[in-house]
Amino acid sequence: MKHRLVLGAIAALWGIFGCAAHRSASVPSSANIATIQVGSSTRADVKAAIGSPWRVTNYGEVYCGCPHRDLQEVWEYRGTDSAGPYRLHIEFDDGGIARTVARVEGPNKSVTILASSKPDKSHDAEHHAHHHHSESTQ
Amino acid sequence: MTTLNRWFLVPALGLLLPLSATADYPPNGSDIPTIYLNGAPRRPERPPAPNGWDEQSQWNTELVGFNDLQGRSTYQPLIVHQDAREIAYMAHHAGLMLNPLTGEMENNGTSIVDVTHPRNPRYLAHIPGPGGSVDAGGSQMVHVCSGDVLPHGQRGKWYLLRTHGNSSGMEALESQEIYDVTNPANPQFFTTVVGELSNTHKNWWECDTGIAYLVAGNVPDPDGWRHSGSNQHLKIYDLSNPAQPVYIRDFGLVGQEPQGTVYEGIVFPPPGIHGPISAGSRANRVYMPYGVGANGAFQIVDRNVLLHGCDGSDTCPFTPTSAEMLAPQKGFLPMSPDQGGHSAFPIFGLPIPEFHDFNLNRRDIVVLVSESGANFCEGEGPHLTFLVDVTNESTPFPISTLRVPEFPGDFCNKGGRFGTHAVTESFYPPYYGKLAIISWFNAGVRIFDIRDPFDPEEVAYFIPAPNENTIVNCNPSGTRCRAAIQTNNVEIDDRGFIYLADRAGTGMHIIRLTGHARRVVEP
Repeated sequence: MKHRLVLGAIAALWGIFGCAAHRSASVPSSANIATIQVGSSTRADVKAAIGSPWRVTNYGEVYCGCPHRDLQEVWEYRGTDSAGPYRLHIEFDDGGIARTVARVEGPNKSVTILASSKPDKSHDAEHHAHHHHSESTQ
Repeated sequence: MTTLNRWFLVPALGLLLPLSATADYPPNGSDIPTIYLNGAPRRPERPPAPNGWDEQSQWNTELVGFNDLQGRSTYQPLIVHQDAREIAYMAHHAGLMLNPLTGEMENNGTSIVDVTHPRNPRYLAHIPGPGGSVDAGGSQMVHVCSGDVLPHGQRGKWYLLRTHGNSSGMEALESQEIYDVTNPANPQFFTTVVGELSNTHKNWWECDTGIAYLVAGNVPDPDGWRHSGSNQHLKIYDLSNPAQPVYIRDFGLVGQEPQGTVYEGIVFPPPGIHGPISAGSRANRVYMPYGVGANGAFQIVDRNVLLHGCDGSDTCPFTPTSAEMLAPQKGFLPMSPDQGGHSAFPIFGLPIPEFHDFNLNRRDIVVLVSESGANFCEGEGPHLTFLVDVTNESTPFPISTLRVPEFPGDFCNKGGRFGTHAVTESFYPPYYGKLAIISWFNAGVRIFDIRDPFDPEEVAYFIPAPNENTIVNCNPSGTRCRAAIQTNNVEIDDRGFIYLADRAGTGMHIIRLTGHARRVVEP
């Protein structure tokens, strides 16, 4: 979580598509999305940048005792563009800092990770030792 | 003892007719179903491979109905036979979502759905969760009692007990509260049982006595109770008159009490409790799992000693001695460090046909479930369910394991969590002692034939398909994300339908048994 990645890629991606409003929730613009910085933007920063989400979820399971427990708070925005309906997924860490931004779209719920805090290398190594995963999307 | 002739099959509908609304089984009474085996053969086929990760899969089950629950992340389903209707009370994780019935964005709380006609569930109302920060929101657990059954309830009334807070561990912001749900379409706040809590979670409420086993903690913990893992223990209340809660005592594993000098288990302080199940006043036992997903322990408690062991003492209820903590304990089982006690459901008097010539031809079994906690299986081994023989209470002993292999299904790559979470908690006679019905996160609901608890076998599953509401879950480092379903908890109604609640917001699925799984439970 020490590194910050600017979401320039998001702006480029959203520049391709026009966004349409869904319900009364906000639909983020590409320029505003680009101001979100994983690793530093707070929930207040995100709300100021792209408005109120369509849905908020907070699993809140610090009781769990699980090895990677965290609050797993997720903000989601919905819209439709030339590629069809999509969701913007923003995940916050325990400290309320944005750590992952992703776009979800298509009938098979394809997930494109637009930006993410740099992975914890020790954790990643452990993961690969167990499962030999390699893909980074879906 | 309520007899089994109160239920029978209706072949035309393929449904089990409702048991009486006042069935005398826990939590409404203290009868325990007698188990009669029908001699149906063991599983004739191996479990088939599921479909693709984004498709519905079923084996010896069939989808009957669905409701989207407004897209809210759901923890626990509870289905109540209420005034000639079947009402599903669905308890949610924290969150914020539009309620189309009110036109307002509402913090997640409790959804109320009329499932009398399971093919067409009708969403009645949403009781919002706590206001303010989403961190403190949600109402993950719910229990409902009839005023006709509660010793001092108002006749004709129905009372809903729920947690008010999301186990976030935030300081003193949570509570346990009661709503009047006599009209489930118009729930009314009734009272707060106790406030200034943290880590509220999986309660149990005996309707016939009113005793409520509330799970909560205090952060910071001014009273000095100590826990590891989850910061919570029991706060026991008499809610026989819901309008006048009466505090009885705090309780947990020895070593958690303030200034305790001894402890049990593999860690100090001992891990917090997740959620007790009382078998009622006649069985006189309460089953308590500790640790949730790690450093687990399981405890069998004498209910009478638990409830009355502090009578006449000013100090025992809140600051018991180690001896007072140990007094109710009848059995104790430490678990492997990589497994925790999440759910512990008792089955009394399970007949073992092969043991007919031995004294122990009926066994008492506890279904003990650990909780999987890592997306994409990262950094943890599989979490499992164990059948524990508690026939001799002082020496609980695991005799078999219920597991779902990673393959076929490639579940560790499917996204979200893969592994056990909870077992149904209904003492539903047709299924009691025959099936263990367990939520398995991205592997859906898994159903095991446990008639031979020494050699259980899976006989059915149902895996919902993700839909437009399914929340993406990523690994902690944000390198892998998928919109996989997450079957969090499952429950049975008094007609035999099985309800799945999805923590990823996919909604509520109502299924029924078919094929061999159905034959196991036929009379």
